[in-house]
Parts: sequence; C-alpha cells; structure tokens
Amino acid sequence: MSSRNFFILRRTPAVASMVTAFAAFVFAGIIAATGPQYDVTLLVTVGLTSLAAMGLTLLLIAGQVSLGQAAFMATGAYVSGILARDLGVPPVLALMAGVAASAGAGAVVGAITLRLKGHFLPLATLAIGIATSAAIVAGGSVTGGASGLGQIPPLAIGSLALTDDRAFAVLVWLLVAVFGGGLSRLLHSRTGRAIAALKTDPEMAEIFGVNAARLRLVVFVVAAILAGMSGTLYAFYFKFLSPAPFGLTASVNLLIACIFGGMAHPFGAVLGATAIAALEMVLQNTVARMLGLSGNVELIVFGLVLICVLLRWPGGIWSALLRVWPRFSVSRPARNIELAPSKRSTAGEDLLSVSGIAKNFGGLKALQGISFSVGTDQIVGLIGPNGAGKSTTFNIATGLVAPSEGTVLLMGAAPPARVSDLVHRGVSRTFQHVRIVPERTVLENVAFGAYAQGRSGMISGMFGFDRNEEAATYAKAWRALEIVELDGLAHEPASRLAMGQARLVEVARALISRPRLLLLDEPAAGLRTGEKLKLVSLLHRLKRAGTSVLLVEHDMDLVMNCVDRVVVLDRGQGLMTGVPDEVRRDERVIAAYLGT
Amino acid sequence: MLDTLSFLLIDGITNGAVYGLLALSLIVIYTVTRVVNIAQGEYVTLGALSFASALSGSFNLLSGLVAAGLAAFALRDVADKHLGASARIRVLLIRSAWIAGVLATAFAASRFPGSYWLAVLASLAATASLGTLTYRLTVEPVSGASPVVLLIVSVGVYMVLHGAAVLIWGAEPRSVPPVVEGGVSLGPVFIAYQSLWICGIAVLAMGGLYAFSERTLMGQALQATAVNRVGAQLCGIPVRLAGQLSFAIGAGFSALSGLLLAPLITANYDMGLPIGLKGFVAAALGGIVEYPTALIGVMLVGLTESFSAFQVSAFRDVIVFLMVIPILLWRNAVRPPEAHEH
Amino acid sequence: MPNLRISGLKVGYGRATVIENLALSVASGELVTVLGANGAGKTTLLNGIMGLAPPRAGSILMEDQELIGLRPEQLVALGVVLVPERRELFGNLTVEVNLRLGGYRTGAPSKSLDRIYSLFPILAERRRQKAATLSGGEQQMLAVGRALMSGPRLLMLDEPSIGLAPLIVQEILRVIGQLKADGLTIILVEQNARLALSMADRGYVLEVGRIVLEGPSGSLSADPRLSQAYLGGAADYAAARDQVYVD
Repeated sequence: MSSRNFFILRRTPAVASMVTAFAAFVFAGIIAATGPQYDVTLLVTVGLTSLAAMGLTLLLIAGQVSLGQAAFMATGAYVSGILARDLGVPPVLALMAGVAASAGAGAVVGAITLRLKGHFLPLATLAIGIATSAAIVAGGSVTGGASGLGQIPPLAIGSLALTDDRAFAVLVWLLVAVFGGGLSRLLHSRTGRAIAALKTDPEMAEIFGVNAARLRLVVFVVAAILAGMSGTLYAFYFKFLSPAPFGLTASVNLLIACIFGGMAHPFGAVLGATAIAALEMVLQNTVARMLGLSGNVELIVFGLVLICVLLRWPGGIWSALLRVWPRFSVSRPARNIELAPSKRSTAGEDLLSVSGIAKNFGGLKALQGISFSVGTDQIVGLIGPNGAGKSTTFNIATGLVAPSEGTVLLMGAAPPARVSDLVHRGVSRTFQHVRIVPERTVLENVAFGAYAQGRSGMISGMFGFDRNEEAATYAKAWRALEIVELDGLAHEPASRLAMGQARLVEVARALISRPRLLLLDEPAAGLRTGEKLKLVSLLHRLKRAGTSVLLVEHDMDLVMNCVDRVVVLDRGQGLMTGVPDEVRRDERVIAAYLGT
Repeated sequence: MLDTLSFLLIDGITNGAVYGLLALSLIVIYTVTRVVNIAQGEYVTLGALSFASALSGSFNLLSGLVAAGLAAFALRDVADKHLGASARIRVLLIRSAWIAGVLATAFAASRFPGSYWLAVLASLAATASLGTLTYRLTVEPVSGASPVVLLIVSVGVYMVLHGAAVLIWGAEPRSVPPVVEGGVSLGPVFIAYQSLWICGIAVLAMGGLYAFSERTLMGQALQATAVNRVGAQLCGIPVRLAGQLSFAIGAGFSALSGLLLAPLITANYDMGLPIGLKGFVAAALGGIVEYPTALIGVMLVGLTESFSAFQVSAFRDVIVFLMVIPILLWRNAVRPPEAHEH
Repeated sequence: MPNLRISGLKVGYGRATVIENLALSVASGELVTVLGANGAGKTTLLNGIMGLAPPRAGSILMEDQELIGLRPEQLVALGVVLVPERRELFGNLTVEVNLRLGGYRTGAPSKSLDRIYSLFPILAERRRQKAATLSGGEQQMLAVGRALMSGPRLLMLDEPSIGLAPLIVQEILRVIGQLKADGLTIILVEQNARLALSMADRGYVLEVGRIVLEGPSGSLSADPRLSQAYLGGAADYAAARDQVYVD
C-alpha cells in the first residue's frame, strides 16, 4: 500500500478537481464574507475573468485560438443590460437571454470561421473582436456609445433582488467552482478524449467516429456561453456598461490568463486570472504606493513577469504544479470482457472489394489498375517497396482519398461520404505514422477508440452522469491493452512509449471499436522480434474471433506467416496476387524488394 | 465633389503606405519566426518618439539602453566555447562596430539638433537593434513553443515597450516638423509634401526590401528560412541569425512608418497600437505570408478607412475590421495555410 | 585515421528513444551504407549526426572534434551535410536560388554552381524554374546538388532512390559513384540493399535502433541474415500462429 491510500478519497483528477473547486469556493466565500469592499469587487472581477477564461481554455485544449473572446462577453452584457434597463425585461430572463445571445453569436461566428485553418482563425476572431467593440461605440443610440450605459437594474427574482455585493461574489464563485470542476471532469470523459484527439489530429479523430466540424462548433459555443455568462454577470454587478472592458485588451487579457495559468487545464484559467490580479495588486502596492513610481513601471514589471514565467514554464504556472496533481487512472476491472466484432459477417461476403482503381496526382500516375478483395475471416497482405503506392491504395480503400478511376466497395456499399461514419460501417485502422495523443495516458488513448459506441455527451461528462458507460469503456480498454500485452503501461503518458509500443497501442485502440474489418498500416515497423511474434499471434486470434484484416507491411516474412492472400504492388501497379508460397518464390517480388 | 474624392484618395493612399510598412514588418517576422507580433505597433511609437527627441537635440536614452543590451549579448557571443580564435575576433569586431554605430548616431544627432537625416539614422539604428534584442531575449529561448505562447510573450513585450516609452519620453505628445513644409496644389486638390514624402519613402523602403530578398544571398536565406526551416538549417543558414534579421527589419520598418507619420499626428506614446492593428488587418488579407497581396490589402484598408470615415464615420472601424473575414474565408478556400508544424 | 567515429549514441524524439548505444565508424574517403527495414532508425541516426534530433548520449567524433552539441549550421561549416529523405527544398524559389543557398556559407561562388550544373545538366536547363515544379527525380538531383554546393567533407544521403524511376536512380547513383571516386566520404541510407551494397565499401544493418550486422559489402551481400533483417524472418512465426491463448 502506498502512502496515497492513507487518504480516504482515492487521489484521482476528478476528486482533486472537486476538492480544488470546493476549496476555491470556500476561500472566495471567506473573502466575500470578511474582506473590505475593494476586495469583494476584485473577487467578482477575478471570478468573472475565470469564467470566460475557462471557456477559452477549453477552446485551446481543442486546438483553437480565439483573440476575440471578449466579443461574446460584450454580447451577453449588452443584450441583458439593454433588455433589463430599456425594455423592462425581468433581470433573470434578461440574464438568460444574454447568455442565449452569446451562444447564438458563438454558433454564427463559429459556423463561419471554424473552417479557417492554422493562424487564420486567431486573425479572424481578432478582427471580429475589434469590430464588435467598434460597433458598440458606433451604435450609440442603442448601446450608449463610448460614454456608456448606466443604471442597469440589479439581478432579481420577483421582488427578491440581489443587491448585496458579497452575495453576488458568492454566486459568481459558485459558478466558477461548478464549471471549473465540471470542465476538469469533462477532460477525462468521452467528449474530453475526443477534444484532445481533435487537437492532435482531426483526421484520426474522425476515423473513430468524431464529427470534427460539429465538435469544434460545440466547443466554440460552450466557450461563448461561458464568456456570455461572465458578461451578463458583469452587467448586473457593475450596473454600468461601456465598450472599454470588452475591447481587444479584454480578449488578450483572457488569453494571458489562460496561457499564464496553463492552457492544459480549466483550473489553469482560474489560477491565471487569480495570479494576474494578485500580481497587479502587489505591483500597485509596492511600485506605486511604496516606491512612488508611475503606473508605467507597473506595466513594465508586469510584462517582465509575464515574459519570464513563460520563458521558464511555456506550459504556464499549472505545468509547475503538475507534479502534485494526481495522474488520471482507472483501476483494472474484475470482470472479463470479450472484444468480438459488433456484427458477425456472413461467410463469403466481401468486406472490402477494390476493382480497377487508379489515382493521378497532377500529371503523375500514382496508381494504375489495382484490384483485390478482403473476404470474411481473411487476412490479406498488401506489400511492395517504398513508393509502390501502398498508402494511396490504403487511403482509397477507406474513402479518405477518392480514386481517379475504379470502384471501392466497403461492406458491399460505396465508402461513406463522411470519414466519421467509417467506424459505424465496422471499419477501423492504424496509421503508418503513429497518431496518438501524446499527453494522455496509454489507457485513455485506447479508451478513445470506443468513442463511436458511447453516447454520453458534454453535460454528462461534466457532471458525472456517464459513470456506467465510462466503466464499460475502460473495461474494454483494459482488455484491449491486455490483448496487446501493454497493460503494464496503462497509466504511462503515451509520449513515453517506444515506437513499437505506440503501434501496438494503436492496434488496441482500433480493436476496442470492435471492427469487422481492421486495416493495419505498417504495424510491424519499429517492432522488436518479440513484439512481432505477439502481433502475428494477435492477428490470428482476431481472425478466429471474426475480424478480417488488411495488412500493409514491409516485413515479408511476417506477412507470409499470417496472411491468406498477398497483393504485391510495385511502382503503382499490381505486380501479382497469390497465396504466400507463390509470392515468396516469385523472382519479380524478390527483385522489387532487394533491388536488382 | 471631385476635390473631396481626390482628398480622400490621397489620404487613403498615405495611410495605406504607412500600414504597408507595418504589414511588411508583421509578415517578415511571422514567416521567419512564427511570432504573431502584438508588440509591432510599439516600434512605431518608439521610432517616432526617439526621432522627435533626437530632432530636439537630446541624447536618445533608448540608444543607450539598446547599446547596453547589445554589449551584454556581445560578451556572451564572444565567450562561445565553440568559436575559433579568428572567429572570436571577427565576432568581437562586428559587435563593437554595431554598438559604436548605435551610440555614434545618437550622439551625433544630439550634437546637431534639427538635422533630419541624423535623427532618422539614430532612431532607426536604435529601434532595429532593439528588434534583434527582443528576438534574442524573448523568442530564441522558447523558439520551440506553440505559436500562442509566442503570441502572449509578445504581449509581455508590448507592455514593457509601452511602459518604457512613457517612462523615457513622458505622456506629452511631441509635435514634429514635416521634412518640407507646405504642399502643392493640383487644380483644386492640395497635397501636403509630407504625404508625398511618406509615399515616396515607403515605396523606396519596400523596393529596397524586395531587392534585398530577391537579389542578395542573405535576403534569399531569409526567404528560405521562412519557406522551410529544416531546409535552411541543412544549407548551413543560421536560423537564429535569420530570426534576428527579421526582427531588425520588422522593427526598423515600423519605426520608419512612425517617424514618417509623426509630423501629421504628433509623436505620442499611444500612436502605435491602432496603426499596428490596421497593419494586422492588411497583413491578414495576405494571410500574413504574402507580400504582394498584403500590399493590395494595405491600400484597401487605407482607402476603405478614409472613404468610410467620410460616408459612415462611426462605423469606419467596424467595416475595416470585418473586411478581414470574407477575405480570410476566400484565402482559406483557395490557398489554406499549412497545418501548424510540430 | 577514421573520419567519423560514433560511439554509445542515443537519439530520440520527445520522450521516446529511437536508437540506443549505437557505434559506427566511417574512414576518410569511404562509402558506408546503413541498411534496415522501415522504422529501424536509419533516418533518426542521420538526424542525430546532423543535430536535427539532438543526441542524448554518446559521442560523434570527426577527426577528434566532438560534433554533439553543435548546431546544424556549425556542422555544415565543418563539412557535414545531409540530403534528407524529404529533400526539404525551397519550393517557391528557383532551382538556381536553391543551389546558391546550399552554398550560403561560402557565398555561393559561380564556380561551384558550374560544377553542379555539369554533374546534373538537367538542373542547368531548369535553373529559372521554381523547385516545386520539378519532377521527383529532378528534385532529388537538386537536393543532392544543393548539398554539394557547401563543399562537404562528409555527405549523408537518406534514401536518395525513394519513389524514383529506375533510369533516374541510375543517374543519381552515377553521381554518387563519381563523388566517391573524387574522394568524398559518404554515408548512404538506402532501401535498395543490393544497389547500395554494390557501391559501398562497408555496410551496417540496423534493426529497431541497434546494429545487428556489419561488415564489408561483399560478405554482407552473401549473408542470409541481411534478407532476414530486411524482410523479417528471424522470428519463429509458425509457433506464434499456433499459440493458443488461455483467456
């Protein structure tokens, strides 16, 4: 028994998140109850920044950068403020309308901009953010323009008005605790795994059934909702709105809070917002009051601290605390589980049939006249030297690339239009260049493979309604790891794996989607002899359990020893197709491989 | 009507020329170092303010600070254990000459107040050198970090430079005389000489940069680093030096735009940010990787700005900034940026 | 006196180690080939020597100078040059500019340019064309030409024949042969084992980050373990196939 188990609670990220969220709430509550008015206002400001910044952190975890997040704060603030002040809408309804408006704005902006790649997205959101605050200034008749909008009524339910600043601070931090804890929990849920996969490699995520475009939009809307919530609460707390707190500076400050605190975790945002406020307070006290220097020295010192912290910890302050934060783990279940294909194929059916396909890239003929098929309970090898066109064939077979000529039938029908539907067809694959999420554990990487069979979404992930499904998923993940004999590494970060191990993790991940047809792209490259033996026996075992395999591989001997049929490609053309013994003896094949 | 139109046209083109220098700065820095440089506008401020102070005959404090920073790095470079004896002497000589140049121009400018070209030289030498220092202090140590971390670091740089500008020169705006007073009247239209001057110098500077990157080996090396970093390393191009060079060019160009603009709007500590942002818009139109498209972009931004200011003045900025979205969408469809490198 | 002596070399990416405790030497003027299956770590070895994937342990001595810790540009200055598998050309720059940049350190004198054009006459024809518009074979020639522009003492070639038509491969091999005849020291990583061994003085065979076989080309070609390392076959798969798991 390690010393950890002396604690009554098992140290897991979920427990740690709850404890941290609760502690932050209690701490904030104490300040709210006892601190001077100045501190209460500061507390509210930090809480509001944290709320919006948490949303931005979720965006960053999904691999998106927004430089215009304050625009959604402004939307929430102004919609609810104007509704409550000028149109007499009850404040609670106005609050909801404000959040809904932010969500709507997020959906519209997201739908337009999320197709932008690389650095275009931050540029577009930057422009939208600046345009929004410019529009507030320009639309003076409605928004009060640069001089602002005053006398917003207090938040009230019926006659019960929330006029007490201290109570307001408690409300804000309750939300911070709930959403902070929830988003932290979300990270390690079905949706959280998909979000992490989205950042690493959207194409890989789609193979396992993630609708990347939709998930990206959902994340963007959630971030907009959190920003909008922060904005509406701002309106009802300060009861005065002006464009200044929602400008570019505000957007950049949110990003600073995320990066400074640590963009890997929602609590990083809270930590960042708090650290920045604390730093500002310290600077004001020491630099301005004690040393009597101007505000610009404060700005300079703040900038210097920001630069120095990020040079030291590019992952933010959170990365410095990671050592004490528990690593995600799920204990091995007692019961045993079988990983057979979800649907048994009927004998004689062709799972994959490729006929006469050709592919031209520009003027270059990459492939010409390739035909083969993979039947039920069959392992088919696709071999050929580097540059023979194996990968292209493979991508055409899975519908990732459309052939210039010829037809592909997967389970008797054309490949699905959307890659994310492939897994529902009973197809899974591994990748020639390993695509796993480096910062997640081996077990989580494997568990992601079951995405298509799960149903629980964002809300259940945040608040723990997904317990049963998660337990089942991890039971399968453990089983898959046992099958590839990597269960000893279940809780290691995937980045620590050697190449061979990482390939086997990919196989395990593909297995738990319970495919009828498994496509393996050079699974043995980088494997040691023992691991290769393991792979071969695994393939035979899969075949017995009813999974067919298409195997692209360089190791001829490995291929010859486990396949039923071999398709040999050379320079984009089919060299021959046959049973292993025929191929092994063929002079052309040997020449193609070792050279002449 | 016609004279209003021509007035707006000239105004737009003048602004466009200024934004153009900014856009080129942003592009050269982004392509070579992957830094989306939020602090870019501050070089505009520093250029204008150090120019103004040099004109008034006071010693440029910025030059002194920069020289000190350069000296610190020079000591470190000379002490590099991988250097041979002759290389060490060469490094020492080059660095000394560089530091001397920064100090000498500042000193000369303070001895001859009102000397326009000396003040320009002193200002550019100080700001361009400051660019290289910024690179070595804040980019080189985290060159492998994700672009968003580099961006936030540049926000930190913005804070330091912004605060430093006020600390050195105060918050009072300084009026700067134009190079040549007055202007010409072309029919009903009056063109200030300074407008012509701005356009002329901007075109010269851009032409110079073009010639540098197309005709010289060092300029081509800079392009090569932007296109393919690994390839550049394999050619023996020192990518860190390329990074420094890009920051020097970026800072110098921005400072140039600041000191050209100063006579029209006075030199003040707050002038940089809005100009920097407009430069961003213009650069964004070119996807911040392409020079020629960015140049069309700057003219578009300048003209849209002055015309919409006249037509619907309140919504000027809304229009200018929203213009980015459709153009980015179009670029994304036609030529998407390469996926970010690991 | 050996030109290059590597010992105890350990290279990896991120937290993963790809090659470990590797020893290899190349004598002055020698052509040494490194063979092995995909994923064996051949490219990682070259990247490790070139400083693109900084080695974690070991030593790389070239004429008693330690190369580990030097930046790529410093290595190029010492005459260590790599032609990478992905070629890493500057696609939107012209052939001539690509070549000139290869000679960045020496100022790209037209004398060396003329030498490259005489080695690869097709590049002279294409000198004004952008590199991205060249065919695969021409791009490979350009990559080799660019590397030669710096005046290397040790040339490392990573799979120069990959994906190329046989005629082009012949052309490139002809040039490699000529360079060897001129006395250049060369490390050649190739998938075409027979071809590589037919040119090389000695060869090493890598398997999963370790050297499993080494020796003069003649004896390597005859060694049955070579095709094992390449095509697999060292393992007893029949047993694995029939192994029954107890679930």
